[in-house]
Amino acid sequence: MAVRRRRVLQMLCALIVIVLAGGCTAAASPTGRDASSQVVYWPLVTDGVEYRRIPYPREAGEMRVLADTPVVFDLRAARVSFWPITREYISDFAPAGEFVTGTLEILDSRGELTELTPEPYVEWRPDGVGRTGVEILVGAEAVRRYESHVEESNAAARALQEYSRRTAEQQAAAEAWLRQRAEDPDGEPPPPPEFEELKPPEPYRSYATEPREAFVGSLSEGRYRVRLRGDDGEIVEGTERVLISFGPLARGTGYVLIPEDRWTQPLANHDPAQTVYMTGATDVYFSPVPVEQYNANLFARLFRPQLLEAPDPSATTWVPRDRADDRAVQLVLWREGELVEAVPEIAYRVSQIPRATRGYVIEKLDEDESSLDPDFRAMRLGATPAGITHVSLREDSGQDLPGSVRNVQRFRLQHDAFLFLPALVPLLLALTVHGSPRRR
Amino acid sequence: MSTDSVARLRLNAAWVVGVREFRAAMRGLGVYVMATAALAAAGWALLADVRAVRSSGLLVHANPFGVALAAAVFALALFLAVSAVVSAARDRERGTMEVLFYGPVDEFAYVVGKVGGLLAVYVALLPVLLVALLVIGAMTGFLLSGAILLGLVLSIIPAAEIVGFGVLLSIATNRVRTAILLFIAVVALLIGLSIAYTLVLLVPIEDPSSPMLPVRDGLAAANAVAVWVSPFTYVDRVVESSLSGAWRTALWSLAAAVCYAAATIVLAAAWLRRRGVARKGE
Repeated sequence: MAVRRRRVLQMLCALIVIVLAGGCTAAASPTGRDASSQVVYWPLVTDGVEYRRIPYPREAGEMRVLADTPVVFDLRAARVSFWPITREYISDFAPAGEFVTGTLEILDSRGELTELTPEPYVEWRPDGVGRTGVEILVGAEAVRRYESHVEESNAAARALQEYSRRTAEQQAAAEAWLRQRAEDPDGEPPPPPEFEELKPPEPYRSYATEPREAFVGSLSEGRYRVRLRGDDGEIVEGTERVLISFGPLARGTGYVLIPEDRWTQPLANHDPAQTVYMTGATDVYFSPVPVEQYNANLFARLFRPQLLEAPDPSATTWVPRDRADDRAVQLVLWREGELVEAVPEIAYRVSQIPRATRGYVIEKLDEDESSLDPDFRAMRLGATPAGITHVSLREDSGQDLPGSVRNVQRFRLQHDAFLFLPALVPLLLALTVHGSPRRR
Repeated sequence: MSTDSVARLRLNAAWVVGVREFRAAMRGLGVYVMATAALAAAGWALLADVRAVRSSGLLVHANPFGVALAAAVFALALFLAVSAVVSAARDRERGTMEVLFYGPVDEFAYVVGKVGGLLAVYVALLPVLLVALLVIGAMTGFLLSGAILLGLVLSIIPAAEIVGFGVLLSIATNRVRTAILLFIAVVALLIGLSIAYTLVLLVPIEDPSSPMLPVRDGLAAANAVAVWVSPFTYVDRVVESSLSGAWRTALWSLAAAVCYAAATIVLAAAWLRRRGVARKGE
């Protein structure tokens, strides 16, 4: 008996040792790496909304870029060290971060070679910093844009300066006249100074970075090998990498759903497979938004290539995009296959009203009559859409937008406890089986 | 005797052992109590969504039954594992195993019969689970998608692997009590690792020289190994990935679960042959 108990204990210990040893082996590998000097790829990539510089030391593995978007490849000498807290390899460009020149060779899976040479580029933000919409301009156009940006921003600054000067002058004249009147209230009043109506200059928001040299290219979807050929004609050591250029798997129409009684807490409905459940207690505003489906793992690693808890490589994600146009659309309500109603998209404004039940009221905004901007544009679905089974989006031309159909269900559970009723069925079965006279 | 007739005999013996196991389980109260617990777990898992839709009047979900299904399947799988652990150890303790082996039952037929019988119990419970989910769906308005049905069917394979794991542990012991203790220890180790890792991740680490760092990394790596060793994680992986449409992962996990189940059956049979079928002390 003692021998067998020992065997059981041995088995348990063996399992613990296997798990812990495996764990320690795997855990030990990345730690303790000293800083190393290497050429680090530092591309400027976009996720479709914004551009970011992402360092790719050798240890970060494959580079990822969004297909058919301009990518700025910057290669710099850097010291790379392992940062155990985030378990990432950090590139320090500070000591020797000069741009590595040469010819960037990009080899696709068919063996076709694309060569990129350094050329000037600028990041052009027509709506200013902090707004969406960035363009990468290359070559002579980049230089021209930067120069005109400098001229325009200087002109705008001068106009603002002039406006401030003239405003100050008028202000001073007005103050002098008032002072004079105060000093001699009974005297003959001099005529007040004539003021011209000053119009402030339009604020200049656009921004362009200074032109810098880098390799700029746009890649179609696929897997590539990238390497840098130095000025001496040799491949620069440590610059061979794999690059994955990926694009959307599908496109569709998503919605941002705004409950009337919680307008600051909208719900995203990007995935066409999702169903919208409504209790009927509140009106819901459907605000359409274009969406694109991507491989979830690639998309998550686009800006964080060393992300540890990245999504499943075969999972997908739906990403919202900006609406490219303001074409009029309608939300079509369906009961099974029968069209019930088409709700037009209109502008809404949220008015803060202290004594209102929720502290605000959502009102239609007549954009032709009002100088205010709407808070959102949406199609309002009433609180009790009786029998509505699904909704879809239709253009005024009568064309249905692809991927816009959503199931709509009425949530109808009266009491939470009812969820547990089915759990009683097996017990009733047990009573039947064990309590039958035959069995007794 | 030809290979064909040996195989037929073995299959027949496995069938008899399986039917015996199935009947024993269905006659007991445990299976019904566990089915109740599984359905209660499903109801509890749905509460979060129910409360969310009540509070905001709105819910957007692709598979509201996803978590409920995972909870119910996990509860049933746990029951199967306990049943498997108890089953072979009880047969040995009572001498039933020895009696069975006087007949045309060999180790492989015995283990396959045990796994098959308990798996049949699981399959028999699936319609109950499905009907319960349909009833909840009718009460709430939540849609039961095809992915849920697929997840339900696919969960049979990881369930087989869990039963195989239970039988393997059971073969290692002489007594029911020891078998249960061993099972609890193994499950506590595997699940404990996951919980410990989750807890350690909550501890903020600001300094690379923090003593928590090697603990966190060690647990992370041990957890990564445990994910493949623990039979319970396969249920989660198969159900979750099939619900989210991650088919490649679902197929890989299914293939791994099939290999795992086959390995546990073969190992259990080999171990039983090595240990013999006699009661302890004989």
